[in-house]
Amino acid sequence: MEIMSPRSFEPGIAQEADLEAIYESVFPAVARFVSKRNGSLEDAKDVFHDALVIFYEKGNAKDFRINTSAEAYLLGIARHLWFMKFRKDSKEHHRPLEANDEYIAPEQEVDINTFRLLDLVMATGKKCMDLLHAFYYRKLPAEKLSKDLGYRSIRSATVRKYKCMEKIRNKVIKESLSYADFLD
Amino acid sequence: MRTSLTDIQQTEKYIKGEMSAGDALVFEARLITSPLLRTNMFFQQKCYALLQLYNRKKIKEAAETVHNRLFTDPGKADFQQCINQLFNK
Repeated sequence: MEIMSPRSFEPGIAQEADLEAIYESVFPAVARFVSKRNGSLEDAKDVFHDALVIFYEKGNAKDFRINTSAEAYLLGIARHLWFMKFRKDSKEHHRPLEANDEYIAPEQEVDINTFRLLDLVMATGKKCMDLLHAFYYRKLPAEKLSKDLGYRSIRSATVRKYKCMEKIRNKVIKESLSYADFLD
Repeated sequence: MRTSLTDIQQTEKYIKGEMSAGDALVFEARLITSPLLRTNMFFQQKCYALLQLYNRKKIKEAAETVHNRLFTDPGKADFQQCINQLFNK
């Protein structure tokens, strides 16, 4: 089955249908790879879900292009993540990187404080976070996006976007002053 | 748009590399002279990190939903059998 190149991720039923097609197409190969290396189903699921995150994040980047099929690319990321994750235990840790590894940026580490901060911001700012998420992660022309979000013009949607950014930023500042750890 | 929002817009353009060289130079000069702008830029960058994390959470939640559906839907018995036999050796 041919799956599409990674696009920005938009939560919703349509996106889940895409995801299901990707799952059925690629997960068996990831599971086979992981099982051959004595990994569990849970391990296969973990690396596959992390690979999906990278796949969609890459799809969101402006200058992203792949020179292989999306299936092969996704499987390549999952294999790479497996080697990264189990490098210490694996006998294969001297294995040279795959040819397409050059396209894979290591996933940025997210520290525990950022998770805590997100929970605090979401408690009062979910509406703004959803609006900002739509702006930064939905690849739609400004006019269509503004209309979808219920604004009469691009300008009023843009003003709302920056007001939301201000609100979230001020919340982050407030929480950071309460918890010095967030300033790291 | 009020000044504080214009600053947020300018900061975004600067962070994302969408400013012309001339405008970036002017903005950098403002950063040197305005501690408030520097502080706000630091926290605006945190906001982008939070949004990225939020996006990851959304992707993982959707992946979890799809995973659970594929492993419980009787219509996907072939898929389930194909995967389960790999791990039940």
